Formats: sequence, C-alpha cells, structure tokens
Amino acid sequence: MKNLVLRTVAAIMILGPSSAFAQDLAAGEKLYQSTCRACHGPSAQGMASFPKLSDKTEEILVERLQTYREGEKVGPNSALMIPHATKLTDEDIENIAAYITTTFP
Amino acid sequence: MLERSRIATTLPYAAALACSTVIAVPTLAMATNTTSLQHTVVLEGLQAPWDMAFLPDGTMFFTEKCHGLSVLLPSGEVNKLLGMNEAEGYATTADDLVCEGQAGMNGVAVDPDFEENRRIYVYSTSAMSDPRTNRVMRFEVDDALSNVSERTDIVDDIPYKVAESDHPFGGPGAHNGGRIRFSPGDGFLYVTTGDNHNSEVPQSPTLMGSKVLRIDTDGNAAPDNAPPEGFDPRTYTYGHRNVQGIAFHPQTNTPIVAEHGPWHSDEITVLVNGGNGGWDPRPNMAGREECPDDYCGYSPNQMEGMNRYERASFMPMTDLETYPDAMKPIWDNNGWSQGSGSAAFLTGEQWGDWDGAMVVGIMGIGFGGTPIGQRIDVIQLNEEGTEVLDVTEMTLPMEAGRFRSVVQGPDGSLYTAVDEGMIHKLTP
Repeated sequence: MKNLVLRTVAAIMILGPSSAFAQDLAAGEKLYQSTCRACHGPSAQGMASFPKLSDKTEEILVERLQTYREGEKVGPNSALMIPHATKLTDEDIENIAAYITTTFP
Repeated sequence: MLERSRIATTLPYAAALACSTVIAVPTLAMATNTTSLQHTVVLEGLQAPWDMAFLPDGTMFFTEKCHGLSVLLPSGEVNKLLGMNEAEGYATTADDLVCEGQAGMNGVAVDPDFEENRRIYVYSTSAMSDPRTNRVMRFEVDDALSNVSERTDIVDDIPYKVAESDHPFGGPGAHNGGRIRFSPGDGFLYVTTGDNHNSEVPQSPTLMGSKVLRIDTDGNAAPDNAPPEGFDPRTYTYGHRNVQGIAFHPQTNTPIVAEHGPWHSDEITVLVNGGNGGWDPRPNMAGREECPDDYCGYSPNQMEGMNRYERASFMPMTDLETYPDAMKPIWDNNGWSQGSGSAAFLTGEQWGDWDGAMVVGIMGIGFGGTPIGQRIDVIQLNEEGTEVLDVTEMTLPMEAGRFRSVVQGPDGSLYTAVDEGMIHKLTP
C-alpha cells in the first residue's frame, strides 16, 4: 500500500506538470493563431514589415509583450502591437511565449 | 458604388451540372461556377515571394524580396539567376542589391519582345548610390535560362526611405512601391513608386516617389506623357501614396492601380495621363497643423483606432477639396485599409462570369478594429472599365494569406504569391 501511494505521488509529480504545460501550450497556440499568425507568419518566421519571432527567447517575448501592454512604444510596429497586447493577461503572455519558443525553436 | 457582396451568386457545381443535363445550358454557363477553384502549390518555402512574370510556355520568373530573382522552368526545375547581397547559390550576384523592411527585390517584368531580345526587368533597392535608391534594371537571360547578364540600370533615382521615423511601419524601406508591368496597349513599361513617409514626395515634380512612371526599355520617358509643366517627363501620374498594384483593362488597355490606404480607404483608381492621385500628407495645409516627423499620413491619431470616415475627412487618400481635378477612385474598400497590394485581370471563358474582372490581392492589416481581411476580391467593372459594378470575395480552396502578388499565367490560371512563402495556382 505504501509503495502504491509513493508511486502515485511520483506519477503526479511527473505527469502533473507535464499536463499543465501542454494545456498552456494549447492556450498559447490558440492565441498565436488568432492574434499573431496573420502578421508574424505560420512559423513565426516574420513577414513583410513584421519581425521574426522564432529566434527570440521566451524572456524577450514576455518582456516585449508586457512593454506593449503598458502602452509603451517600441519600434515601428507599436501601433499594431499595443492594442493587441492590451488585451492579454500575464498568463496569456506566458502561454504565447512558451508556444512560440517550444513550437518554432 | 455597390456594397461588397460576401456571397457568391453562382450555382454550386452539382446544380449547374444538373441544369445542363436537363435543359442543355451552354458550356459557358457551367463555367460560371468560379467558386469551385482547383488549387496547386507551385512553390513553397520561399523567402517573401514578391512578384512573378511568365513566358508563353509557362516558364515563371519570380522574385524573393531578400534573396533575388529565380526562374521556374516547365520541367519543375528552379534556376537561381540573380542574387542580392549575401544571397547564396545564384548564378550571378549583385552586392549592391539590398533589402530592409518593405524594400528589396520587388517587381519583375518580361520584355514584350523577349523571344527576340531575351530581356527581363527587375525593380530593386540598391546601395550603389548614397543615399540608397530603388532601381529598375534590365538584364538579358541566356538561352538555357540559367543566368543573366548585360545589367543596365534604366532607372536609378526612385527614392528609398533611409531612416526610421515616428510613424506606423516607420522603419527604413517603408512605402517603397515596386510593381513593374508592360502595357499590352502602348508597349511602355509602367513603374509604381511610393512616398517613403516623406510628405514632400507625392506632389513633387522631380522626386520620383509616389508616381507611376511610363518609360521605354531604355528608361526614357514615353513621348506622350502629359504631366504638369515642370514635372519629370517620365511621370505618367503623380500624387500617389504607395502603389503596388497595376493592371491594364483587357478591352481598353487603360492602366488601373490598386493602392494601400492610410488606416483607411484602400483605393482602385483608373489612371489618366498626367493625373494627380490627390495624396498630399504635408503638415500645415488642408486644415492640418504639425504632424509627427512632418508627415500627416496617419494623422490625426496614428497610434490608435478611430472612425475611418473621420480619418478620411482629416487626411483624405484623394483630396478632392485641395485638388478638385484629382483622379477619383472607383473603389475604396468600404473605407477600410487592409493592404491592397496587387492587381490583375482575369481573362478567358474558363472564368465564366469573371472573364474580364479585376482581382485584387489583399494582405490584411488588423489595426484599431479593422477586420484583417486577407482575401482576393473579384471586382467586376463596366464595359468601359470606369465603374465598379460588383465586388465578390473569392472563395478560396486554400488558407488565406498575405496576398502580395496576383498574376494570370499563360495557362489562364491565376497565380498568387503570399508573404508566407508560397506561390499558389488557382484554376477554375
């Protein structure tokens, strides 16, 4: 019985975070596809005047989205980015950044 | 102007087929089902494909904005002809050709006498001059379609935006124009250019941005160009914002342009020799005061969404109060700006009701509540090509994208390049 409990706890420790992370990626994907993809491309490769995202670290993506969310201008696409970022929660931003860096490394 | 219709009006294929069996509807009637398009990916994995030009046998020259010029042979083989700075694997490399932002290698056109002279034309940003400019270059292609030579820069003074400014999309290379097309009517080369976010350019008589140039294959002005006195004689029309779409009406050969709007009003305009497009974003005129970096093109509120008609009133795309004789647009995308970047005409019975219609590729810009709107619009004009009768969104057999270029191929299909890196073929 004691072994079963230990095994269950171990399984939760292993599978729990993994499942939660997958859920975050799914949420990030949904946001990326609906909000980011049209300009940054299906592979975050960047298009036209819209920069590549697939070469950015998760930390940079989070920091930049937070900056836009504050309404601060950073670069020539701020007019497009600020209204989108304003709608995002901290969790949304982390999910998008995780999706980009995980899916398009 | 009619409201755009989002509903295709033709019968589904099965219904059309059933009708034809029962009441012997002519074959042409079946062909009206242009909502059932076949789709082929011609090329993928490209770097920002920007334009295409065809030979009669289907050979397709194409440009990639930061890589260069290549050709797709009927065999399916791709030969890389002319590489830009740092591009690899090209038969010839031109180190002065550079890309940044919207600028780089843009339009491509095949000489009407290609069979005789093997000439091809390319529009690209070049660092040969300081400051950089956009150039139209003429090359000769070898018999094997494997290399180009005999570069001659027939235009070397189209302005390029060199520095960032305080505007949306304000980086270097902005509003770079770049489409080049030969008129099947007069045989001259038409070159479309942009304003570079420089308010002095559109109405300038000598700066060749914001113009449609009409020139011969040596770069000389077409003798019949009729711009106002004092203008560069290469000027066919002026006062544009950033023209990236030009096509010639299949009956009249009249040039018609599709143009990006400034947070409002993408426009289609029938060109008049010597005409003014009516774009003038200078500060301290037409009721405006100072504007960011002396350019009112996105004013009065360039960083936030607002009613598009209020915008149009403050900073009109075609200012008919200041310029009453300006060329009036025949379509304004219902007041939206969504990135109308290219234009072509569909011809041939295979297109059914769309035979003779104009198609406009729209790249999509989701700003300030504007629907992104990535699509190809089919715009049916009157016989004279002077009025819009109807607008239908093409029902696409593939995912929408940033439709950068639309060109009808010699096989009658519509080819479209998307910024996502593909060239599609749509066949009715």
